[in-house]
Amino acid sequence: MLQEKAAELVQAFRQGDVQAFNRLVGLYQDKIYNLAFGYVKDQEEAKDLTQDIFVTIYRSLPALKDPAKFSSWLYQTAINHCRNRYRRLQRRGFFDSLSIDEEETPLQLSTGESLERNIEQQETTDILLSELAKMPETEKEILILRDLQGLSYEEISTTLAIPLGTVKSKLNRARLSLRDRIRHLL
Amino acid sequence: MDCRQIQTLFTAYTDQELDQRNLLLFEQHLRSCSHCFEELECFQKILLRLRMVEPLTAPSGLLPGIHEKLARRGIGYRLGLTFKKIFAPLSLTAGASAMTVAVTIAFFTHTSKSPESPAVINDSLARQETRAPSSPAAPVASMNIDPNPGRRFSDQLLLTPSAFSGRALEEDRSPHSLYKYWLHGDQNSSGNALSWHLKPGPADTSLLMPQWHRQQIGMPLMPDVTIRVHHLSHEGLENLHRHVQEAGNWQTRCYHHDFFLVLLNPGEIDALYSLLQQHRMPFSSLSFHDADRLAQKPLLVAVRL
Repeated sequence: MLQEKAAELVQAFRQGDVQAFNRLVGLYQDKIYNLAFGYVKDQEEAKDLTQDIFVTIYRSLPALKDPAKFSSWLYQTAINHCRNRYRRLQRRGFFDSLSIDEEETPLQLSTGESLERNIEQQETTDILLSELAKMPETEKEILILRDLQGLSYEEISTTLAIPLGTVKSKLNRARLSLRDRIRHLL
Repeated sequence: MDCRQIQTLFTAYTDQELDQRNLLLFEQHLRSCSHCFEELECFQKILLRLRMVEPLTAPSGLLPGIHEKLARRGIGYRLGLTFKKIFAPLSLTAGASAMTVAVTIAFFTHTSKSPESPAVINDSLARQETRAPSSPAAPVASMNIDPNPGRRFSDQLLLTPSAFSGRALEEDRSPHSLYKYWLHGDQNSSGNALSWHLKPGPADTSLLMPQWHRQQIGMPLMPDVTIRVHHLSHEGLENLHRHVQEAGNWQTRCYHHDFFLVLLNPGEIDALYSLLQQHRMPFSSLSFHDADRLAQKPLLVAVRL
C-alpha cells in the first residue's frame, strides 16, 4: 500500500538515505501537483508551488513523529501552502489577468478516441473545473480532496482538522452546490 | 423522509454509507418522488464527471527543481550533501527506467493501436514504485458467471441491486463502466434479485438508472476496479487472461473479445498489478472505492483493452 511504502521511505530518509526522499517525491508528485493546480490554475505556478511544498517537507521531515501519518501530514502541509499561495496571488490580481473562466486544463488525449469527442469532453471538464475554482475555499477543498484526490473521509478529517461528521455534511453541501452551479451542462 | 432530508443523504447514498434502515427509507422515497429521483440523477452525473477528470502528470524537472531550491537555501549543504551526490544514483535509476520504457515500447509497438502516451508509461512506472508483489491466496469467494453473454449467472455476494442502485453512468464515456454489457436481473416482490444475466446492453442509454417499477431490472456492468491495459491486442488480452488464470489461481470468467473478469480475495489487487508489471504491460486502473474498501472486500475486477 502507498502509505506503508511512504512510511518505509520516511524511515529510510531519517537514517540518511537521501534517495528515499526522491522516491517519496516520485510517489506523491502527481497528487500534489494536481492539488496545487486546483488552486492556482496555472502550470508554472503549480510546478513552483509543488516544489515549495516538497522543500518544506524535506526540511520538516525529521520532526514528523509518526511516519505512518506521512500522507495526512503531507496533505496538511500542501493545503496550507496552497491556501497561502492562492491568497497571495489573489491579492496581486493574478487570477484577474489569468481569467479563470478561460483558463484551460492541458488537453490530455486518450488513445482510441476521436479528437472531436476529446475536445467536447475537455470543454465540459474546463467548465466544471472553472466552476470548482470559483467555489468558496472550504467547499472547493473538500471536493478536491475527496473527488479529485480520492482521499477517504478519515484522511480528509485529519487533513482539514475537522470531525468526521462535519466532513460528511460539508461534502454533501459542496457537491449540491457544485451541482447547482453546473446543472445546465446536463 | 421528506425531500429536504433526502437531499442531505445524497452523498451518503452515493458513497454507500447509508445503513440498511435509511437505505430502505431513501429508496422508498425515490420510488414515489420523481423530483428527488431526477435531482439525485443530476447530482450523480456531475459527481461522475468530476471523478472522471483526467489527472495531470507532474511536469518533468520537478525533482531537480526541488533539489536546486534546497541547495540554494543551503539545506543539502547542512546535511553534508552535494547536489552531485544526490543525483548520481538517481541518474542510474532514471537510466534503468528509460530502458524499461524503451523495452516496453518496443515490445508493444507491433500490436499498438494508437500512439504511445508518456502519461501511460509514467503511470506504469509509478505503480512499479508503489506496489510490492504479494502472493495470492486460495480463493474464498465464489463467482458463477457464464462466459457466454445472455446466459444466466448469479452471484449473491457481489452483484446485488443495492450495490449498483443509484449509480448514474455516462454511457461509453466512463472508462469504469463496461457499458456494452448489462446485468439483467429478475427480482421478486420484495425487490431482491433472484438471478442475474449478462448480455449486451441496449442502445438506449436513458435506462441507465435502475427501473424499480419493473420486474426486470437492468444496469451496466460496473466492476469494483477496472484495469485498462494499454496498447494490447486481442491476442495479447487472451494471453494475459491465460497468465492470470495460471499465475494467480484466481477465478476468471466472462471472457469477451475486449475484456475479462477476475474475482479477487480481499487484498489481492496488488498481486494482480504485480503480474501485469512482470509482463511489462503498461496499465491504468480506476476504482471509486477507497483503499480500505479495496483491501477489505472481495473485488470483481475487469481487465480490458
